[in-house]
Amino acid sequence: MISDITLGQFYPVDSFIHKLDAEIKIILTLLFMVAIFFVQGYIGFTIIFIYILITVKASKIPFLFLIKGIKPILFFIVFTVILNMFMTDGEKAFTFIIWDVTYEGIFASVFMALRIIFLVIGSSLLTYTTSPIMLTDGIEKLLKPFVKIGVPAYELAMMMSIALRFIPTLIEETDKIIKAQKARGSDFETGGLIKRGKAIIPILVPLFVSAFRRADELAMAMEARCYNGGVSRTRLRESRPGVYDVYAVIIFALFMSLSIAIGYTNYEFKGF
Amino acid sequence: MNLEIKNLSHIYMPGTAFSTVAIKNINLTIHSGEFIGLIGHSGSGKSTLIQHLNGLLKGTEGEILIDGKNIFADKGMLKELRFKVGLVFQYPEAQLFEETVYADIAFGPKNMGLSDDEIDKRVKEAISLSGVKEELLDKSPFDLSGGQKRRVAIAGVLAMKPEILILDEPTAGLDPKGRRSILNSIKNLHKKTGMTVILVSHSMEDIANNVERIVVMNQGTVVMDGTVDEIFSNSNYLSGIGLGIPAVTKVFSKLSEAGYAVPKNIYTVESAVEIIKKLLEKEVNNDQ
Amino acid sequence: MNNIIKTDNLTYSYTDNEYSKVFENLNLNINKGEFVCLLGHNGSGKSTLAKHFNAILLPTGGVCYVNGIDTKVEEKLFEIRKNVGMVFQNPDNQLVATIVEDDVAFALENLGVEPAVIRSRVDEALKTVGLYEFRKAAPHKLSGGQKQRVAIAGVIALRPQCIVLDEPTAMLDPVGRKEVMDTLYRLNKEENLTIVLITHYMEEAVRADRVIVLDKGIVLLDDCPKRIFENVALIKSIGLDVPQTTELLYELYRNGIKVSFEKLTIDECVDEIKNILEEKK
Repeated sequence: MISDITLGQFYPVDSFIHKLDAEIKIILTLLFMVAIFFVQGYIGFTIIFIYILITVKASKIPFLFLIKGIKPILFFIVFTVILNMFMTDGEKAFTFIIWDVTYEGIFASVFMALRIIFLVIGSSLLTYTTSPIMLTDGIEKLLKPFVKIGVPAYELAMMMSIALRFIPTLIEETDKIIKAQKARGSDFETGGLIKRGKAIIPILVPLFVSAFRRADELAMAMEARCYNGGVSRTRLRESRPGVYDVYAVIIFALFMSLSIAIGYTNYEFKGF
Repeated sequence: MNLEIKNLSHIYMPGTAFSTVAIKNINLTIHSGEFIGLIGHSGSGKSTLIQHLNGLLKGTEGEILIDGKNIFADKGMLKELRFKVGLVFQYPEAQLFEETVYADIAFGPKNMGLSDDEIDKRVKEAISLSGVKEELLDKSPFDLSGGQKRRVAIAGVLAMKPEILILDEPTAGLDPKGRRSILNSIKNLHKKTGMTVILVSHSMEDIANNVERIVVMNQGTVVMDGTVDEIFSNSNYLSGIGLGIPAVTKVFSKLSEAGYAVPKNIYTVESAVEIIKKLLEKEVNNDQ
Repeated sequence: MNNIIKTDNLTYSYTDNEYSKVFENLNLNINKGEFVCLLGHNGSGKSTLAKHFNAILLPTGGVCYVNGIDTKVEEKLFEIRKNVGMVFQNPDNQLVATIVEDDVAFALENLGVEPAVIRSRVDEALKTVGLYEFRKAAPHKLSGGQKQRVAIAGVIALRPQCIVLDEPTAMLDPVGRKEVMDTLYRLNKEENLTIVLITHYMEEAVRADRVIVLDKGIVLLDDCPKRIFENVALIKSIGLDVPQTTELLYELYRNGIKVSFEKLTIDECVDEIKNILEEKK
């Protein structure tokens, strides 16, 4: 049924990566994204590639699955490659029609493409191995230190979790309203832009009315169950980093420092 | 207008891990002017089935014929069909969106491309059939009470003058008075217009007093199809598949089990009283 | 102190308008351990009244006491809500979390209970409503009856003395309705929990200890179910129903057959009919 669609892209298997603490995973992913821009030279990229292979293997997610994530941004990658290839000055390699292509340009574009691909794979690994609710918990814990300077960490997490809870319900509701209006002869498939735009009103109005009613009832139900903002809340699942997480951090740190360090000792072909 | 359902099956998301069979191999013929009760517990496939009858869903197998013609044969026919087979969803008040009650009821007829005069005539007819008071027409539908909203939503479908009217749980969530009065309106509507009516419910009590024929669904298939009397003689089976049975039916089923010569298919208080009275008279006569 | 909820000249009005009073000078006592059904047609004020029982609404006149505490005392708000839990009509609009056990934990989390204690209370509550094996499920995948039982678990995890339920079965099918009702009667009998149930289904009131009929903001009847449903004509006149068993016996009585129509359950009704049939023989 329509409510069965999977939210986000969580891939539910039991693996080393799935077991890691969400907070740690978010931090590592962020660090990875930064680190990748410091990596230079083909040895550095090879090390990153090996690191990614190991992580993907450990996550038990089919590699093809991750490659699929690159598809939507393929155009962007090609665009960057072309831009880098023709816009980088240096030693001329060959001439393409009237444009000169340099060796530096070729390397720069290959590295840039690799960076983007690694970036996508790295970040999808996080969403593939962490359920939305764990992700929410992780973000909440991560933002906790900033509560003092006014970041509403608990409220944000609560909002995300309520959104996750209600998306399937609202999808189902939308489906029902669309069908009900279709049964009254609403036509969403034909006509020009204005006609189609108008056809949305009979869906949006009831949907909003219902969403507000739900919000109202939910607020009351939460209040009845002693909700009082996040201040003194505790959590059922209080995950603390375990041995696995320590391993993960060590492995990550080794690979990243190695790949970055090697880039700085290898002067031959820098990315930029 | 006769409606024929032939070998209809529907599988949601076929070929994926989420694949679920909602209905399988349904065969039914609905004749013009019938008043049918379609019952089954939640998830028995009755909601899925009715969405096929006006082409909102297309079966993964089988076909639906209207007067012998497949409803998906051409596109123009499908749009016509929406107006011929009026579908009132569960909690239909959720579909109201216009600024006034009048405009909301006129939404369907407008989509049919009718003239303003004809629309006006139809709105007036629809409200008298569904029991919406005329002074409400200029109000916002969102200011009405729950029961009134539901009547407005039903009027919105009636205004299209469908030949077949399908109502999915029209009494859900109403209080006893509201339930009774909506059911009475539907009954009168059938009597007055001769419209084919399909009343969907999980409560036998709602259906028993009104319809002529009952179709029972369980696990995506039609398990029984017959007159009210026929269906009620299997009351134990019905409660076994999660349907609500009227208390009098249970009482008579127990009396019959205890060896009393009473019919098991009693579902109204009136007929129950009649039978007991007769039994008493007979015994008095025997004594003399 | 024997009562868990007590109202003293309770008055409530949504606006300052004299005519918009939902009820006025209402006096009611709900005793500990009772199973009370609150009946009344839509708009009779029963939902509004129920919302006073855990301080979601505060009286505009008079006092509502929960366990002897005036609900207007702000510092005691959580103590009141810990004692009187509330379950609402729409199962979809009261579950907060994406996982069943997280939802049951919600109130405990709000009160800052230790995670280990939350764990054991959540497991216990889920076992009580018979949904322990669904603890990791997503609420939107459950049936209506199961969702309502999750909501009940979320309330009993707080170990309250009383649960107030506002038409919890109105949106359920017969199976779901039975699941919820069986759970409630069990909680009442085994855990000695006070239950205040608002409902439209007369059959659900049959097994209650006490039935209160509200109409136009006043307590019209307040007695045990048998006495209440004797008033067939009165109850029908305010838009409610009597259980079909009562109606059957009442109609027999009106036809000159001597029956007592205070028999409410199916079996009692069968016995009564057997009796009159035997007597004639």
